[in-house]
Amino acid sequence: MHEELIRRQRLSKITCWVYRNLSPYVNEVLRELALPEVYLQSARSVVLESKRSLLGLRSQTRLDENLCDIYRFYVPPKYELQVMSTVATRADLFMAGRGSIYSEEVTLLRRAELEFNDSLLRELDRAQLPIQTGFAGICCIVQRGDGNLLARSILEMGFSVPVVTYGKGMGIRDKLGLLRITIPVDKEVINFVVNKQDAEEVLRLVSDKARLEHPGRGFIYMFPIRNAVLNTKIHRGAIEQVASIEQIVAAIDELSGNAVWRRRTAASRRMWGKKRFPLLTELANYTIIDVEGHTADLVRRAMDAGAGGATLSALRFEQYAHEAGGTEARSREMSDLIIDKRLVEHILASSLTHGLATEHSNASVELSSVEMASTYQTD
Amino acid sequence: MLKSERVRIPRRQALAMILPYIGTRLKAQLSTVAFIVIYMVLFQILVLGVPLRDTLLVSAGVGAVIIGLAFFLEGLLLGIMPLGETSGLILPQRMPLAFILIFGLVLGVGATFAEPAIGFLRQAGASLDAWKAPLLFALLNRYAVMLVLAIGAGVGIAVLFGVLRFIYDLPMKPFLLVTVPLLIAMTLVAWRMPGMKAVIDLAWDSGAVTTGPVTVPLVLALGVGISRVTARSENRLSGFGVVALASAFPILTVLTLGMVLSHQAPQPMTKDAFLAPQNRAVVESLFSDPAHMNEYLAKLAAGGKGSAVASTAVQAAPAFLRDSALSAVQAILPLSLLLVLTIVVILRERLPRVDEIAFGIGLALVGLFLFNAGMQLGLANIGRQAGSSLPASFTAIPAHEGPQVITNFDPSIVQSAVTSTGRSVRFFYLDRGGSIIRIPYDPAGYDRYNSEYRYLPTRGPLFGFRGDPLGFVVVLLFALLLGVSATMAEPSLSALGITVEDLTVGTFPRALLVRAVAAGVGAGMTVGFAKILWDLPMIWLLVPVYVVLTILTLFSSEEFVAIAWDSAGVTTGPVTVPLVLATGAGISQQMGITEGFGILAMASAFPVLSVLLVGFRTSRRQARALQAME
Repeated sequence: MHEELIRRQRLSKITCWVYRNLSPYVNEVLRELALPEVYLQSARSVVLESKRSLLGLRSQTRLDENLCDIYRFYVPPKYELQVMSTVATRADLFMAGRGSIYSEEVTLLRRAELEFNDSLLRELDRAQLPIQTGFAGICCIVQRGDGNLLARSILEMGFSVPVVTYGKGMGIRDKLGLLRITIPVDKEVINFVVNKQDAEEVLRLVSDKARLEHPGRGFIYMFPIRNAVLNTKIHRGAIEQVASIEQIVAAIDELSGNAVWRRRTAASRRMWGKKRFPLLTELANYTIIDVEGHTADLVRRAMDAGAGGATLSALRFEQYAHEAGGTEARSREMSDLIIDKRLVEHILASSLTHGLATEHSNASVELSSVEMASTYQTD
Repeated sequence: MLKSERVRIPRRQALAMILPYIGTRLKAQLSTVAFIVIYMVLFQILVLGVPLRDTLLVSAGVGAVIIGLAFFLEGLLLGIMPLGETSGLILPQRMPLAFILIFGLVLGVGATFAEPAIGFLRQAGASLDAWKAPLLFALLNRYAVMLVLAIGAGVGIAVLFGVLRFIYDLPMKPFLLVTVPLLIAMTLVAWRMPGMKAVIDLAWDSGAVTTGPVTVPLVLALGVGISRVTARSENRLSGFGVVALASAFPILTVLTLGMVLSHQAPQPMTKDAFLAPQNRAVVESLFSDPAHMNEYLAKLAAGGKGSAVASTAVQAAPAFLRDSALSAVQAILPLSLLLVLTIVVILRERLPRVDEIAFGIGLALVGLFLFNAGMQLGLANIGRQAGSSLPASFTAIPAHEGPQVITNFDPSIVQSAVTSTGRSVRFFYLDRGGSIIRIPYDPAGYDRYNSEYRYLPTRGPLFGFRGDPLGFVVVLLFALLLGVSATMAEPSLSALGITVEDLTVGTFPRALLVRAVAAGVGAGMTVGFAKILWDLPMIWLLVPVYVVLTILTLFSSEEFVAIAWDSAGVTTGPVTVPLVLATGAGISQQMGITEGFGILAMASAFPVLSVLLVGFRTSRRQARALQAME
């Protein structure tokens, strides 16, 4: 009924995280490309660092945390690779240890389609740069404070550098009345990228580690990634060879064009092992982005329409399409709802009824696919 | 409010949710408060060798402080900070600049009147010797209203500037690099003006005192909210800095007020001149009304020192509970109401999570009441006890048991000793509980008629001889640890720490900030106590410290500058201020020093230093993190 209010646009969503010192490089490129919608989020990256103890007797591995920025922006799918390689070149992401960039396929639902400056994008070189395929992204939402524990085990498994962000959870908590304050609302969201072949196994391992089969512990899901340049520098310390192990890995990745050779799990291994818990499949990520403070209502409506819960994160909005007026609000809020694919239209209808696409609204919904997920399930 | 279906929780399960919720919060406060209580009690018993008095009252007070802090902090996080943040998010989107600026001004002035610590300053002022610093005395008595107005104006202008800075996304450094040198310059000018020396201490302390437990979290949350909407620059840690300005501007306004009034106040004089009838008109100009002056003179005649600092002592129970409740209400309600009314009536916005915010404000009220009451009964009481015995470490002070009488005293046992200059000193030996002690003999204490000798037992110096540096070292060490442990329990510091940790996604953890600030306050308190012990002029301490701070600020990254300077205002809160004043007053009384101002100013300068240094380290590590790969 509200279908005419909303436009669907298929886009590539590019996610790029870099250490904060490198942020200006990314910002500069995006400004040059005059991208219409860029969302920034503060995050921390976690890597392992070997430290010798005072007497130099034993070395210990501790976590080194650094501030970084996550940039999320949309480009037309046909320009995806050009934009990625331009950003990656400018921020020098091909050298391990500076940041990661990856792309996903999404459908953006908005009152008006995003407009891009085609002439600027068309001019970009499609350089022969080692952008790789064959990855999957994993996102894990846990209680605030549990993030580093998981980050450490992800690093020790040796996949890629995870980034952690802060968010707030909405779910059953919000139906409890004032009693809800006894349940911590603060969450940590851990994002990392693995080989597609390993994804399910890693998801199970992490889910196990975080004890997600217990109620209220958290949620984990896996989403497809099209192209990526990854930060594989999971360890910081003195280099004693002519090339660091990360450089060697990057070189082989570059030669083979993907990271299949690095897979950890043989297909056969999936047949045995301990009792395997069932995973949720056939899911979608329904992300509402709106001015801060405005998404909670829509999330509540979506929960009434069948969604389980959501994670809310604060973002900063930048727009480079035309010089923005000084007064436009920069604060945005992103609510991620992982829902059953079949519920998408139903929930969208509910969002539309409750003001998603009213006049003057800047809100948008981003739809992307989620291949599998795991959390506590009631019988 | 949107009504979704509600999930009903059975009572037993609800209890199972509530108990751990309360438990973890109490435990957190227990550990911070335990640190300072155990430290002070052990110091008093083990180092000074004085038993703790009013044990029951003190324990009850400490218990109330723990529960009060837990409630108050939770109230801040649930009610007051979301309220501030919501206003910060909505205001710039909905209102013209002029309105926001007026709002900031009103908020700042209102915050000053809500501030209980202002009362502490005035209390301290009442114990002054009027003839030594007439201008200071006049400011704290006759011109007390003007003083509070000056401080209020300072805070108001500070919040106004702070908001302006957020809206135009201006950097913090230029503000500081103008304000701080201006402060130093004004202080130097004031130093050369007659009668202004004492006012310098007051001005710097009022800067430290204005930013209290409710104002700081509220203003922080407001700032973070506004800059989330308006920030454009690369600096992603914006939202700080208002607290810093709110500590600096009142110094300017109070100094200005002092300079303006300096021509009307008489010059310092002797006590006799002060009491002389021909000077009565001059003296009268220091008081607001003759009745007040007569009261003060009567007390002076009775041998008291004005209205003693001991007015912080425990009052009668009902009055004292009423005062605690009143000051809690005064600190929380007007500011919260101002924000709620602005959001609901003027902006016509719905408050998100109304029930949570209302509950939070309620918690904060109950918490602050319990905290205030417990502070008086417990912590400040311990502070006073420790403070009054502390000078025993370097000098002889009257022992706590009071005057003693020896019956059947025979003066023939009195002996003579000779000093190095050949003067004869008389003393006798006393067997007290099996130990033989030497008592100096004063003929005035001997009552020939009853054969009784009255004497005042003394304690100390506990460490070496009188004036031995070791004794001073013990006092300074005490100050250092007092500063560190009191700071750990400060609720506004927790609020700042949580905000910083949140904005840095955990890379600048709350514990790191708290530790850095605590170390800074400890160092500052040590210097402040040194000022009192050796009666150092304030300016010798202030000018070098602030010059160093200015230079460090110049070289620091913008991100940490605002946080570091905010730490200055945050540290001197409801735990530290009464403790410092109680111990400081104890020492001042024993040593006959009239005023204990200046400690707070030092205690808020040094944390800036320590946080700036931590900021340097963090920036360097970030740079190194990238270099390590190249």
